[in-house]
Amino acid sequence: MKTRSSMSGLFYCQLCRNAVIVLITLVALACSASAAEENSTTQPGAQPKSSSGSQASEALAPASATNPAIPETATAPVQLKVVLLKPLVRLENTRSGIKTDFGAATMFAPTITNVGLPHDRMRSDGSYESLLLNAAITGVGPKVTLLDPRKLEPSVVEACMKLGSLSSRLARGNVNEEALKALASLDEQSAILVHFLRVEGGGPGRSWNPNSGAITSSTDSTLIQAALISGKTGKVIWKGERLIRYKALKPTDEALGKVLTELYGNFDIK
Amino acid sequence: MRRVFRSGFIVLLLTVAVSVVCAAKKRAEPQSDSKFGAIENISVLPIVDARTGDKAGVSLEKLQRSVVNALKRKQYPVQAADSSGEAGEIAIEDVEAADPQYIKKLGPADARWVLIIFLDDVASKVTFGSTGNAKLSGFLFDKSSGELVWKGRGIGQAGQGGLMGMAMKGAMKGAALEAAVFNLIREIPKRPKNG
Repeated sequence: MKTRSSMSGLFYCQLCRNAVIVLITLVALACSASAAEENSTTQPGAQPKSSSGSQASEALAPASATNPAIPETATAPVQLKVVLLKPLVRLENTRSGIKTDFGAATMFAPTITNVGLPHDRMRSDGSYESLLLNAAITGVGPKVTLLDPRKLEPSVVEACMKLGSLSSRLARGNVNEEALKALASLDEQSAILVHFLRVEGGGPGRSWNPNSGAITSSTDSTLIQAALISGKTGKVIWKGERLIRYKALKPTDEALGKVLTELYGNFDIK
Repeated sequence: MRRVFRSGFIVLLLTVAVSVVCAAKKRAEPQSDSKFGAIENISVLPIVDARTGDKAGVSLEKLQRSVVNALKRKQYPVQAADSSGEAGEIAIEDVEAADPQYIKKLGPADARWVLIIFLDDVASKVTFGSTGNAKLSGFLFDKSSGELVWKGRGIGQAGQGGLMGMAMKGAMKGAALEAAVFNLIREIPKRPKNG
């Protein structure tokens, strides 16, 4: 009887141990899957990445693996002269539907002079706009000649003001007739660099219902688009975009700087 | 014993499947408006895919059918259009600008009321379970006057926690899209009866 009892105890002990092992394995699996996908920036089908490093770098990794800035291959004219338009920043409240545009695209980037612009001349007011401009200067500056807006001809200034108002579509490479007309004022060796940043926040957030087990993810997102468009022809020389889901990034977020660096990571024109 | 486990598992599976909750909070039905009463037939244009980056994994035709069915439930005579008409590729900036000359080019030539739906985003991910999000924007125009009759935004969320939820990741995009359609069309008041 005693033996039978101890056998039974041993059986239950082993059963419990096995159950614990299975449970731990499942939890570990769940954790690793979650860590890889929690901060996904991405398009559907992103590959999970094993967790290491900071949260920001984890957030960016899948995007760089699966959703690189799209190199719109085209041959750029030799010694391309680029007019850097002031970025259009749109803050959007998902719940109320209110959209607020900043950085009226009718102005030029104020501090651009030429290639090799020293960092102390870059803007550092901590705004989205300054972050975008600085990233553009750093990423594009060494490869092209950035034009000084103060030295542009009045017709070009007028054209660029018109183009600036079309920033949201131009930045994704959508060049319409209106833009083509304005671009005709530029010469063949000139191009415009357009930026659009949309930060969508204030929508339904993440949630967990302990009764039903239902969970939801945040609907916030940050979209950055940039395009280099040739003058005269309106051909898209290069374009890049990054969509960061589940997060409305602030200018102070380290992740935003990393995304911008990535955006220009493959900026290569011949 | 096995039979008990199997039935238990099936019950659990069904419970989880049914409890994929779309976070559509109940709100009051929008007040009916006389301008909606004048609507005779809405043409729902093909869904405009306004997503960024990779655009795989969504049936836009199915989404268009969902919108049509949702409008039918609101008593509107409605039909799905085959093409976006003379306007060609539709950009959201053009629709937001609502230039009457441009609006007249949208959809079939004989259609008066046209509904344009933009698929802004749809995604799913695995966490401690899985979730799906979808975002849609809609614009209803009266082509005869070029007037914007209605515009709205529909956000859909879906998700289920736990291991079963993780296994259901594939269904989350569809569930989120259905919720987004529901939330979008909910903003349109039920068609008032004429006379």
